[in-house]
Amino acid sequence: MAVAIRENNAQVVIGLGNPILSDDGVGIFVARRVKEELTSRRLPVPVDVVEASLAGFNLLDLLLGYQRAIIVDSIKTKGGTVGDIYQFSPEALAQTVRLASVHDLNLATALKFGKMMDMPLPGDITIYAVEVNDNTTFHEGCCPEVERVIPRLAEMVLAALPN
Amino acid sequence: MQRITIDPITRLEGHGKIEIFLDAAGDVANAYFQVPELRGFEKFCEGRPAEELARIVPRICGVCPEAHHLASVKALDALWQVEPPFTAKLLREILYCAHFIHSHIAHFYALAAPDFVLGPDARPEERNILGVVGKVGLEVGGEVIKHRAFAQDIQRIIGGKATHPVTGIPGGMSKGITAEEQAEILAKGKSCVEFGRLSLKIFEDVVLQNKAYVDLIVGDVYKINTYSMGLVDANGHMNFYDGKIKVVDQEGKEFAVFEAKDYLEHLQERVEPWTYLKFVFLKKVGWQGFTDGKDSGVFRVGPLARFNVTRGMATPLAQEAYEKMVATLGGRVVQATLAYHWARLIELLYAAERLVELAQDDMVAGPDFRVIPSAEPQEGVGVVEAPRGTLFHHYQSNTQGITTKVNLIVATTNNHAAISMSVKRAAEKLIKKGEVSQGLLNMVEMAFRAYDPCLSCATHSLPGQMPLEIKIFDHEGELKERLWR
Repeated sequence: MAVAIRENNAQVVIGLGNPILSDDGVGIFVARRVKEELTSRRLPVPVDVVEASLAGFNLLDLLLGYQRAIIVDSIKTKGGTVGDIYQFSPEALAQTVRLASVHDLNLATALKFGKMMDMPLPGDITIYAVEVNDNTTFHEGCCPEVERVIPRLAEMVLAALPN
Repeated sequence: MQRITIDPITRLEGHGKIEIFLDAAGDVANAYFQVPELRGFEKFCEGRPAEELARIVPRICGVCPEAHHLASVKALDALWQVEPPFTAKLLREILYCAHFIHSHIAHFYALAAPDFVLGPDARPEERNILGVVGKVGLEVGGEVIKHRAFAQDIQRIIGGKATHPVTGIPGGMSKGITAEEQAEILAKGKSCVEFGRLSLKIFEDVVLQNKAYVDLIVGDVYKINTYSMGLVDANGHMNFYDGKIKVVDQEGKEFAVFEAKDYLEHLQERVEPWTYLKFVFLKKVGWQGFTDGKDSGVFRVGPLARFNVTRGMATPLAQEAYEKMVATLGGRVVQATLAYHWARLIELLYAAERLVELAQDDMVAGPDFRVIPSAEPQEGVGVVEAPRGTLFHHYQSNTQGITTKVNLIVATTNNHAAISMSVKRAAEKLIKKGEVSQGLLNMVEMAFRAYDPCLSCATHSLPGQMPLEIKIFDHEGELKERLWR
């Protein structure tokens, strides 16, 4: 399989979500913000910033060849406060390694499968997730509580990127 | 059985649900399958330049963006009354065959195979692709990864991106391919043909050589007798990209053949109070509730329904595989829901063979891949077979090409009644006197999983798939058991 040869310190920020599904797009909007800040402040950070509306196997493709990855996504938990930011490692999702009930794999299973198959996956993966309100209505833009945390989370991502 | 706790995931909202209600004797009184529906997509699409829809609709979900893209461009061709050139049709169908290869690989190896390779009773921690590869070997795992990537590469070459393609436009394609790209597609496609054969061989070794599994497939637990619907070409062979819509009855007799534009004469949608997702039935038969047989308008779509409507396969190796399934399961019409998996693998081989056949055409790298539309836009219906079944896009616009009405019927909606009935049937046959076990519940879920239902609305939010909750209630409505996947 063709995998791009990258620098040893290659890192990637992946914003996940659907940009036209209300709050679901928050990961994408954070990634865009990170990209804008890198450009406008001319920060010399070697990083690829990508946006994606995918999961499972397809998400695995985006991680190949990188040493380090930061994934930004949305999450919806019972009793969660909209706008809260969570940070976890893929291990925190490891308990969900199980047979997926829908079409594809979940992230933890995909990563474990990638490791099993000796794929060049990042050794260091950090996941940020924003508690969202509405991720089932087609609409452009997030609710104010989610919109508000986009700059803050973008700063957190930038701070987590070594120069 | 105890509740399986997998916090924080058990706290996630927005999950699919199977609810099973028991009577006083502990037998199944009723079973429902529910999914949260995404709202407002059709409305979101209205009032926009119609040509933009082909790039918006793949955003409905991350699972079958190619199907929506192509149903959309076909609706746009019709809206502008323009016939795409031959090269454009070749490119679209090659792109689509690659999508089928990718989608069917993911479904079989990640979702279907674990139930058979590890067994329906295996612990959930093992019953996944990791367990499958552990059993069938890393070499097969490597082939899965390789051919999945080949299919993605082909989609990227033609569609501009591996997922969410952007190159289909009214009247054709926005770009063609080079001779070098044609050679790459051909080489990768040929390799996929071999992989399709390997996958059928694995199915044969693991499933067909095991009498218990064959009995399970043909047995009563997973059988409902419905009409079948799918696209067929001029020769009556199944085709994913184009053709007429054919409906056959429970015995395989032709019930209707119609053009996409006439779909509303044949199909009708209805709502039920307990779910947001609609149900579609055959208008000329009518809705008799969740029941099968000739008098019920319930029909099925997807691989097994396509198997039932086709006269055979248009490519040689897939035809051989088709004949084997006909001989093994006793006829050209199969109503055994678990046979969806077998039909899906025959389609994997067909998609690869068809891809190679199309990619060999001299015209494929030609420069004539677009006709500029010149007619005034009005109304258009586009239809394709999505991997999980027939998909309709219907657009109306004003004379400036601004959409005034958008209607979509997706595969899982077409299958919704049949899925609900299959889940109920399996629950009725498996759960007796209140005795439930995780293995039995997984076997109920197998009835649902065979359809490869696209409930992808939640795949973007963590943990990257929609959780499924199975709840069992006793006759007093008290929650008796609960299981999370």
